[in-house]
Amino acid sequence: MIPLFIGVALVTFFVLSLVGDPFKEMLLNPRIKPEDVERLRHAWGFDRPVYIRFFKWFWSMITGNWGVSIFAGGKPVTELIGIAIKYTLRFSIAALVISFVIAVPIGIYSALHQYTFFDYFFTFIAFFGMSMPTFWFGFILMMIFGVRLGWLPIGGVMTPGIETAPFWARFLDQLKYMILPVTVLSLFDMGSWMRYARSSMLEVIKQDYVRTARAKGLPERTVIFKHALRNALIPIITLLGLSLPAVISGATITETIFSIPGMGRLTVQAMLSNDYPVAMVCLILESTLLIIGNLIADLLYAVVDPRIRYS
Amino acid sequence: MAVEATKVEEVLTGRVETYWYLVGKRLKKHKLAMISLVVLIFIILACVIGPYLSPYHVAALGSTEEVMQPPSLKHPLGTDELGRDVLTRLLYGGRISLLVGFSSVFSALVIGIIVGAYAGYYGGILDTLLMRFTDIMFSIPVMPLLIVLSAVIPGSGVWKIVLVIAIFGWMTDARIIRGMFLSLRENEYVEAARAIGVSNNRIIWRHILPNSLAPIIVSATLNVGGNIIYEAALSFLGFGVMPPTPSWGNMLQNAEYAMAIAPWLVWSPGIAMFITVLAFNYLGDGLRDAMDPRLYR
Repeated sequence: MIPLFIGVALVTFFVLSLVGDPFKEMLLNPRIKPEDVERLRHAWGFDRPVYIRFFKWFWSMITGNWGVSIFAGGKPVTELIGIAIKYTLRFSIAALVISFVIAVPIGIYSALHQYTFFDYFFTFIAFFGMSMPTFWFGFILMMIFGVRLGWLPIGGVMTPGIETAPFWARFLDQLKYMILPVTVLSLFDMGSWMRYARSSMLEVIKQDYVRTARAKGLPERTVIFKHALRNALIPIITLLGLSLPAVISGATITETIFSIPGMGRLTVQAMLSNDYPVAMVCLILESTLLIIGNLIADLLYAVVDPRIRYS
Repeated sequence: MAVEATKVEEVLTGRVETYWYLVGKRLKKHKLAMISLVVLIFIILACVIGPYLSPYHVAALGSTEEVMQPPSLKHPLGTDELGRDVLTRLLYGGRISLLVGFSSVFSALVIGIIVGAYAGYYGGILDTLLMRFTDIMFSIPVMPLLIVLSAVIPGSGVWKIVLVIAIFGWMTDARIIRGMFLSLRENEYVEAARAIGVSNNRIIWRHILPNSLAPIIVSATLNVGGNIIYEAALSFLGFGVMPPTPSWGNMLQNAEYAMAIAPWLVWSPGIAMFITVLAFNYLGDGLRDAMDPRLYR
């Protein structure tokens, strides 16, 4: 895991260095002295080769000093990320919970009623969700509910000036801003959850032990809930582990079109301006979560399925 | 390769039921997949031939009265902010989007096959190195790096996007191919080939590879749809295919402003994209069912 972590850091840092000198544009500004730009360059290590910059940054990162942003008024990286994560979590957790709670029961019900109208209808909905380009779907919702009907705000996270309002007014206001982005985010997830739950359940109810349970005369409810469902949930729980990193890293596209100042947008903006202290911490955080998410998925798999043992 | 008839009906009909014949037969029974195939062929033909039949040129600007016209008989999908015919641009943009979709999947496949095949066939230190690298690429958040790479690499072209998507899209293929090679290299026919002195490269490309393609065909089909959306998202953000070359993504670039005054500009590229991706998803699903060995009978 450690070599993997270092490898990820190396590759991302290298890609980031392709963006080039963040102070280049300052040279065009006649009000900034070239010596000052040179000083900035030196301070951030842009007068040195990439690998020296990498080692300096890597060392200070693993010793716990995550540094400050080159831009954004020199704020500490942790502070910037803290604010962004708060927004991202709000949207992504809502989307995850909604899509999971709605889609998994539907998927399981579809599997139990295979080839009925219900099954066909929701299979179509699942494909619909998976095939919809999220940013376009966002536009359509904005166009209908924001512009045409004027019911919901078309972007941002809260009405300006609401900060001083009482708690409930603030809560409801921010809730209103969440409806469209969360709908967009959960529609896509819903499709894959539904398909996954359905195929997982279909697999299980064909098993011998389910037939045995039926044959010995157990009521259908017991067969489904006790014998089939528990086993069908194993791969679904694994997928839950795999989707955790996305909860933190945020959806870049959706955040962009709805102007949500979350992690996805912070990462991309920092990368594009080569604000490497911010960008690298964002990227490293996301890939660490990806690695840990995989690990959790493996471990969960072993916990819920006694047939799997890691030696 | 001649395959011997083993079943009575095969002898009687003179048609040998090879794996691909069976896959084709099962796929034909999958109604939605077949409809999707027809729809896709129609879309591809329309995008290839359509621009030639259109009375308008893609880049031809309309007169001032023709700016932002809603759909009419003259312009079935209306005109955009420069008076260009949206239908013509949609068909031309479809060419670009489909081209990016297909060629990025193909390029990713080539990288994935090379990495996976050599790792799986030779094993040992080469396998460890290549697979560790694959793991690293797997653990990198894709979307931010896609955006940054396409912003950094110079050029406005279609091929830049293909390259960038392929760089971050080959890992799954490599893993699948490696897995197939690991099990297939133990087969007798590989041993036989080695015994008569066939070179390693020939065994990899001619003996094992054709037998390991089935599982990646499904993921490749699904990826064409996925990559069309990637391209659209990148172009929409302004890092992909640059105007004036239209693609389904960059036709939506001005959608934010068009929303209130020209909704037809928002609808058409999105619906075209949605139908295409939906068709690829259904086709991939049908292929998966047709190729699943557990559903053989």
